[in-house]
Amino acid sequence: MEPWIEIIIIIATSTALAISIASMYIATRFHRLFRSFEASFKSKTLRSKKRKKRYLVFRIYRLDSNPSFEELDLCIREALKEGIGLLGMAETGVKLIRYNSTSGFGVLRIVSSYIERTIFSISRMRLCNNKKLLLIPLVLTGTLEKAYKKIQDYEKKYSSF
Amino acid sequence: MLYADLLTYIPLKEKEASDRVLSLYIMLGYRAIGIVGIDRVSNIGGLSIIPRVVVSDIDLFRPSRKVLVAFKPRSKEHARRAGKAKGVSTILFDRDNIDICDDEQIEVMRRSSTSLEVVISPLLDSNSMPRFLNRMEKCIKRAIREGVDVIIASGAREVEEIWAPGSIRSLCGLISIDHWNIIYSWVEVIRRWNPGLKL
Repeated sequence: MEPWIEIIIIIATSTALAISIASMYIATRFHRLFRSFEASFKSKTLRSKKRKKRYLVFRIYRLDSNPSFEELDLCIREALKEGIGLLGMAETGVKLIRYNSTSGFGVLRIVSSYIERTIFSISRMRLCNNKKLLLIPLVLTGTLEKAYKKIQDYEKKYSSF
Repeated sequence: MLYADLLTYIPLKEKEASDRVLSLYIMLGYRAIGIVGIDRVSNIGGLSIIPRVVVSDIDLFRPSRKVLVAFKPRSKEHARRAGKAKGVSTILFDRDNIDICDDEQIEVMRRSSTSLEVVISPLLDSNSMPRFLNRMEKCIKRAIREGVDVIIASGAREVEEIWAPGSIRSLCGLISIDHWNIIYSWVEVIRRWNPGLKL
């Protein structure tokens, strides 16, 4: 065999080897990259589907006498039962966190996937244990601390009403 | 934000009751209210009070510059006729006539720039609420799609029938409409009715 042919064969063989090694490396690298992208996308999708807690600051405008915490809690549950049903209630996990019967301000824990339905259902409430009232949704917060801070602000603002 | 409840029937004759209603509206953040039974525009503590009249008889229906007239049609024919009037009035739909609000009606109203007014007091009644909410949603969505101004009014006859702005917003979210379409449309309606009125 001619020496120049041997050289060409050696070069071609080494090039083919280099290309195959490089392609193997790229394949494994991209596979890892693809897997990591896939994992992050999945986690984002799961994260967005996850129900987050939200805190609704509200005020009870009393037209008669003050409902107590227990009375209001019961009335909110009744209103939700009528508005979103028992199964909806099971999913929302609504809880009356705080209610000051003197100032009328309170905090209700709801979940992010049922915000409008929950607020609308409790907004329809006009009677609580035969006491006429008006539930005024004020603001929605992501943390309980912010909700308490908002209550303080509102108590100062609406002290004259 | 600017909120308005352009149709209420709460009598403001007794001073104590009147003060209570007005202070409640101010506390809720309303900038204007429309009341049936008064004859002139006034402003109390930044709250504009607009005189309203609701007419159900087509023969008595006359758009007016003194009071903001709402025509409540009893039949499709009357609704179409009223919809052709110039846009200084509103066509009112409530529990009794919400079925009349169809595509053709909205098209007539779009051509004449008449506004759509929906009274939401039936939503407080558990029996009529589901059906009314369904019809109301269709009616409002049609109107917004065609560019007709939409007003949501409480139609309150007593204090406890008043709705808070946050509740109206949740209602808008519930029926998948942008609440901005509702919140500011009343300003256009008032400006069209009385261009010189300061809000």
